[in-house]
Amino acid sequence: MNDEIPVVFVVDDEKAVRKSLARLIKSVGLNVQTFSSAREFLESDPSDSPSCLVLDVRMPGLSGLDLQNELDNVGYNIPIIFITGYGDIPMSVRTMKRGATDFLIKPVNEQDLLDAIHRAIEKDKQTRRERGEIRAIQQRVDSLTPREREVFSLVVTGMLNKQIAHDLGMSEKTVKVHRSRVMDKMQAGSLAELVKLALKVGIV
Amino acid sequence: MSERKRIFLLITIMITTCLVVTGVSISILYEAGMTEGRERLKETAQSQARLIEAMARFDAAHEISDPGSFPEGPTTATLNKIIDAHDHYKGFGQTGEFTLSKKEGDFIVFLLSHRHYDLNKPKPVPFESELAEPMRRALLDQSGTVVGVDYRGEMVLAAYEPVAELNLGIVAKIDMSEVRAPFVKAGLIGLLFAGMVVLIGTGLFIRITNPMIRQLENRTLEMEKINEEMEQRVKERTVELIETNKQLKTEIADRKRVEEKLSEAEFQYRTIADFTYDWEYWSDLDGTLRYVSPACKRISGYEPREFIENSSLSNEIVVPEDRDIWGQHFHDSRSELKPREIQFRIRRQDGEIRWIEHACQAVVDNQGEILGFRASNRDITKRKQLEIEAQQHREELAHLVRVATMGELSAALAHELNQPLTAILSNAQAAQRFLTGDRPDLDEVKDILADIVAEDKRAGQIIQRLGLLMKKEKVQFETHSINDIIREATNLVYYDMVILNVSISMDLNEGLPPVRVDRIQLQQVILNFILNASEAMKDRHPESRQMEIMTRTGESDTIVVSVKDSGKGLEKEDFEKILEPFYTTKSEGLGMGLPINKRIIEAHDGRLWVENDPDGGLTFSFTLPIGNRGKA
Repeated sequence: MNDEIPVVFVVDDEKAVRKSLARLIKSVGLNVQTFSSAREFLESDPSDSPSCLVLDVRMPGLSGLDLQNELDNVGYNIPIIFITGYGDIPMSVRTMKRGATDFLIKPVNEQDLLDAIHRAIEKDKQTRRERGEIRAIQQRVDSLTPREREVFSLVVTGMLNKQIAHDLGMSEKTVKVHRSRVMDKMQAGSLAELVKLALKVGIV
Repeated sequence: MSERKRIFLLITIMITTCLVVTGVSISILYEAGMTEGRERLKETAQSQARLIEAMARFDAAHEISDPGSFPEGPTTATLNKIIDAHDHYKGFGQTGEFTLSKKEGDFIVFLLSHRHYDLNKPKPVPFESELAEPMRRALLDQSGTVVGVDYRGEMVLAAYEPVAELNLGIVAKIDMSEVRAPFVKAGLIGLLFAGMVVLIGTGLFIRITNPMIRQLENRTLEMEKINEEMEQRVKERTVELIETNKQLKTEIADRKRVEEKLSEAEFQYRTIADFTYDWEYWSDLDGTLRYVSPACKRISGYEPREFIENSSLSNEIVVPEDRDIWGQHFHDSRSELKPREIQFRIRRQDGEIRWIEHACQAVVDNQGEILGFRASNRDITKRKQLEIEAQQHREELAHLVRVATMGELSAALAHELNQPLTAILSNAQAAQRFLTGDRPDLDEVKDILADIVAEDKRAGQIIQRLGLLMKKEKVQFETHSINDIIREATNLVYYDMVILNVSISMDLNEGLPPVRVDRIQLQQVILNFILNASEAMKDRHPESRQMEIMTRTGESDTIVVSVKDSGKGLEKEDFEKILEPFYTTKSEGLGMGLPINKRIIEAHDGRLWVENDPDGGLTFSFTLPIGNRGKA
């Protein structure tokens, strides 16, 4: 899925602006979807492709900042490039703090915009990759039996089998059996790999 | 004491006096008579005794010489002779007699006949009896006188003497009654006389004193009468006096009560008047003050007596700008009597300006006579300040709203313009990209160019729209008196200037011709100058915040208006910039006031300039063309 053509969403109440921005983005070979309002964007089906959002700050109804809030609230983690005709430093700081990728002042320079879009899409791709990996690891963790999970969580802390057996009240041999099963299920070749996986899903 | 008693007492005194005098004199005489009688009797007795003794001795001697001459003896012879002699002697006085006796046994035997009792043969008397006391003494050989009982038992005065030769005793005696008789007689006569004298005296006394007494009595009566009358009159007078006194007392009490009430009432009124918060006074028609409440000190800084002593002080403290208001009011209040209220400013003793709300009313007595005016001055400076502050606050708010609106406007403007600009730029850049490709999509580029044109037009429209939004109303040129415009403008900021302690003096040439101007714009210009000037004097001492507005004729058919402040003037480098937009020396200023003024004046074909005064401060001036030369 990483090979899919990225999509740039443009939200601007001004049709001319939307259209011109869409043309500019298309000219570098990116897919563009335009929305005339924040509400419209929220109600659309988000594409699964790597994407970013070019968002006008000042819009009637839900403003760009409001939309950023909404997306935060629903956990839709998409990189946002704000464009505004009337920006001030406090506002840009605020948006950047909340995770905006870039903050551009209208009229925007094409190169600045396109660079920002590329950076955002790269960031999104990265995010998506990590998210997929974690999801895969989580699936493996979910396949462990409760006993195996207990052993897994103790193994990754660096405890010896003997200590684990003592802590869980089982024989060292049994621990060894569980441990090899955990290694198999988690598809880890070594203890170090297993610890890395555990870190990614936040078990350690 | 009654009259009778008094007379009786008088008589008693007289009788007593007579009795005492008579008694005393008689008793003295009696005593003397007794003594004399005793002596006489004694001498008599003694001489008789000596005579008998001599006879006896003679007889005895005769016997001796001639014995037998006396047959019966010499003694008897002697005795006989004596008896014989005695028989021929009756005795002396009425009762006086001699007795001669001898003691025979226990009896006294009398030898001589007695004069009174068993005359010739007197009976002997026993020696040891009470009778014949003198003889007993004589027989006892004693000599002397005695008052005693004789042989008869009568009280007698007797002298007794013994007769030695014959062993006899002789007694010469006289009855006491006889001795006493003359005295008794004399006493009786004396008494009789005394009684007569007393009677006569009494009679005379009564006779003599009676008229006197009558008179005295009459006098006394008269006196008593007078006295009674006097007493009556005194009584009446006393009653009158008591009555009068009572009335007086009542009157005094009434008076006192009235006085107390009066004093209490005065105290009450004075307490109310003296403690009023406002400055109360009562003035006569000519303005002389009858009463000024102490609160005037708090409000004006002057003592009440300073107003009373100097009746023009109330006028003097009114600030020059408000004297007309005060003078008009003084005149009006006397021409038509009705409660009035005015507001004006005074300069306190310490120089501070205070706002006064003055309310007054004529004081009219029962006869409809006007006694003057009752007035109350209230210090409303605070209220005025609050009003002005509220006004300022409103103005500040309005200003803030304006500023905010400006901000909004510029934001809107930026957004509105940025939209087409963004579209144009992005379109143009997209077109550039399209054209750099191997097979440029010319149709697309054509579309893009069309969009660019459209967006550019839109931008133009936005600017036009905003220009319309900001466009001013049309100016109205009319003929006005510049002085009136100045006065109107000054009135608009009247209270602001009061609060800022700025005093505006006007030197307006009333002979100026009218000008054709937009009244509102000209007022705006004047206001801007006044506000600027007051702002420039903000740091000066309140008393030296002087502003002067002058009008005069200028060169070549113009009039000149100048607004002069007493601020610190301008630095040289500021002169050029001061009329440029957005140049300001004030923290809150927009820097638009003077440029606007410049534009307005220039729109009126006038000229505006600024210059420093030699005595500090800044003067803004502008010219306006006169009358027909002005805008049509």
